[in-house]
Amino acid sequence: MAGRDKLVLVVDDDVELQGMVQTLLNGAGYRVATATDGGQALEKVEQEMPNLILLDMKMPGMDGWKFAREFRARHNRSVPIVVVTAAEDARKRAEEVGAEGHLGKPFEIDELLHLVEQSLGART
Amino acid sequence: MSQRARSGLVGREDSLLRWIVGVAIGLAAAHVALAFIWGPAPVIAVLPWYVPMVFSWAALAAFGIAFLALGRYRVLREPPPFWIGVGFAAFGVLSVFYVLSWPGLLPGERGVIAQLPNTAAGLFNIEFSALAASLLAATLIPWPRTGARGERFWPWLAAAAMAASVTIAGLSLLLEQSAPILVVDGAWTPLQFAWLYTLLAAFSAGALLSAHRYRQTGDSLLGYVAITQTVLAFFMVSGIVGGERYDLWWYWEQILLAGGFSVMLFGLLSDYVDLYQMERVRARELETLQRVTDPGLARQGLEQLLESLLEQIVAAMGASSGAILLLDPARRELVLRKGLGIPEEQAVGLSVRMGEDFDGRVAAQGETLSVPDAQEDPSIWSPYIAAGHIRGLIGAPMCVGGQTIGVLHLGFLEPRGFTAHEERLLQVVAERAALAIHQASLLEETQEERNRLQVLIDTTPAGIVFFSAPDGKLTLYNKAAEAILGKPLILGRADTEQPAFRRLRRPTGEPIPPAELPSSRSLRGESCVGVELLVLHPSGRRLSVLANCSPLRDARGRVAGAVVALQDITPLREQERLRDEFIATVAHELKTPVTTIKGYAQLMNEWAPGGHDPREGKAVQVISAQADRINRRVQEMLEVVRFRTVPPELHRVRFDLGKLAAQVVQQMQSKTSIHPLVMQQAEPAPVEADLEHVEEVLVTLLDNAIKYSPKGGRIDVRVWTQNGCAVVSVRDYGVGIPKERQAHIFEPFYEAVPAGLPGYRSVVALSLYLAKLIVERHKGRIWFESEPGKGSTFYFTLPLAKEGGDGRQG
Repeated sequence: MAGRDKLVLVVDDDVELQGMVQTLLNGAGYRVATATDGGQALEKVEQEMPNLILLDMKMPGMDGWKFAREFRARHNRSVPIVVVTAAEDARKRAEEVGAEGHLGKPFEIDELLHLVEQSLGART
Repeated sequence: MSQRARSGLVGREDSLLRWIVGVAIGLAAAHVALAFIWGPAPVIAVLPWYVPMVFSWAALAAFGIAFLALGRYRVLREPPPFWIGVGFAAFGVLSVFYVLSWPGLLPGERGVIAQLPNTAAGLFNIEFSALAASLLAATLIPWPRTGARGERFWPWLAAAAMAASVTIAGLSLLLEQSAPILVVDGAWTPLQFAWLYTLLAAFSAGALLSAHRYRQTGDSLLGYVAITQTVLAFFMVSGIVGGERYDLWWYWEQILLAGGFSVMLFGLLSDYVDLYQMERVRARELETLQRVTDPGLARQGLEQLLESLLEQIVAAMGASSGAILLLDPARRELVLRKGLGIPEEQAVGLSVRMGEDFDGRVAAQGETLSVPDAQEDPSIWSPYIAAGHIRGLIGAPMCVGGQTIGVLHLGFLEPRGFTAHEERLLQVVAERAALAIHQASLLEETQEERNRLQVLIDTTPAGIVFFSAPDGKLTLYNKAAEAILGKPLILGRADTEQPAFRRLRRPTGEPIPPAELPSSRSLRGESCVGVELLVLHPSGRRLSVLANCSPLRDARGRVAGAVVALQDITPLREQERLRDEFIATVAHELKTPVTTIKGYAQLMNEWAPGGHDPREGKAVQVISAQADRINRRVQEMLEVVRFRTVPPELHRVRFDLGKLAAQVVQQMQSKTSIHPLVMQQAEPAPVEADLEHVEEVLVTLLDNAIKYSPKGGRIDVRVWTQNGCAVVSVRDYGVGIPKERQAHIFEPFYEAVPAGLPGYRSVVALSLYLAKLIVERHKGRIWFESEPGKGSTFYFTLPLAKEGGDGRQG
């Protein structure tokens, strides 16, 4: 497994889902930072630049689109973003924000792990 | 003929004929007596001999001229029969010859008559024979209006008479000296007497016959012919008797002739005056009838019409009062609707029962009745008659198509009788008035009907628009239509030229070609039900409108117009949209918690495969499976909503529906062991459709068949082609669908089988609804047949792919 110490930022307004994903990724050896909206996520990024961002689109406050635009404008464009959304057309949303990958809710945990691994691998 | 009004001198006084006959008999008797008393006196005349003759000829000439003139100007009702003229013409011509034979007119001492007595007698005989023949013919040939044959026949007879008289005159002239046959030595021969007796017989018979026929027909001309023949008969008697007493005879015979012709002349002229007066009366009657039948009257409205009619009729008939009563068929009563010349408070609104009182009797008997003095008649007691001081009373029923609709009566202040002619006239007037009243009532009913319809149209929430055929012009619309379509709606303009109709769109927003507007379709004779349209309202709103349209046909079945009813279903669509949005939101909101549940369940399984406790392992498994189930329902709900709001694009490929069905049957068989799925028939059925969607439909139908056969049982699947369509049927032998639920099977969230019955599954039932959406999106049809307890068969069709389609083979 490549880069067990890699940091994944999970941005989702649902803390339970956040918790589940965090548990899953921690179990797989990743470090996980969490944020419940775009604003908080930007703060987290300031603290430490993650290697991958799992981004929910519909959130209160700053939503996924705004965050993606802000993030790309201010920071490293090479950090991959994977859109994780309950919306029907996850692929379209991903394209809109120039994300590297997308995953529709509900997903299988293996799907998520595979995608995270793949996205990180593609960049490093 | 008996109805013919008796007119003229003879017509007015039947007894005049008897008087004339009496006078003629008296004169003849006096003549005969005087002839015997005076004997063969030389000249006893007070006046010169030619005075009575000139007088008689003048009368004859005047008669002839009057006859011809009146005939020519058609004053006489019938043109004078030609042959009477012929008779008189012959008489006149021969008179000239005859007169020429008189003493002093030709050279010689005693005149020709003395020199040529045979010639003179011959001329006289022929002259009167012609007259007798023509008058007899006038009597015998049925007339009037049957002269056609006589007119053809008599010119020849007249010509023959002329020729005969000239021949006889010439012959007499020749024979005068050698062989006299009529007068020998100044005395008449038996031949001459025989001839005169024949003439007497002819005139007498003619007089009797024409008098008889005059009595039958009342034709005044026949009366004159009778008088003439009587006079001539007595002329003959006096001639025969006084033949030898020459001077006396001559004198009296001329007076007789002059008298007879004068009577005829006077009679004719008096006839003329009568006819003239009658013409005027008829013109007035005609005018009355015209006024009563004026088509403009009917447009006045019933009340106004009754008043106008009554005014016109009362004035035209010279009555002092009048009333119109109309029948109330339900109560069998006549109600006085309009009175004229009678106190208002006594009149309007009063009613008379059928068969009672005067008006009731008129209506019941259905014929014109009259009463000389209503005040004296105990059976008449209506206050409007009593209070009006009405004496003479005449009433006629008003009938339309054999149905009595009322009574018209006229009152006179004086007691009086009514002639048959007056009764008849009132009858005709009443008939015409009835027609006008009937027409006005119909018109009023139509107007009321129209008003009711207008109120109905105006108060209905649906927009209603009428167009006339074939020009398609807008003839009527209601406020709701204006509100739905937006102003302006322009009367008299075709649908395609209405700005409001140009703002109509299909639900997808595409413009509608003019020929496909509901109004245009109806004008072509089509009906349409539930066509959904989008209205780009001038206010900027977009209204969803449901249109129904239907052609209006006339009595012969031709399209006379079209009606379009519009229903604003925007609120309904808005509700549906909100519902869809709500479902989408709820479904969406479920996705995240389901992800969390599933994720933890899977993690737990990884942390301790099978669980620390076997029950825990089972619990984790159930949690995961149920989360999946929730997810499936969520997906279904979202799919339904998506299909309804933004129908997904179909990824059409070409495949064989038969093969696909066989595949699906095979897959589904793995899910059940108690339901043998049997592919009964699988004809090749190439379709061009969205493979995934169609597969979903097949799965749904099989799934349902399994679901509603809880005890197991065969399920038959067939695929065949029919009428350009591929047809699939899925038949089960399960519980069937209760009748009362059958109509709702394809509605969203509707369970085919109610809770508690076998086959019920407590899930949100969307799959059939979705199947219907999918099939219809492919322009196919889906339906079922079901019998509770025996099972159901579901069918769906898809259009067959066109030959040489370019889809992939599936």
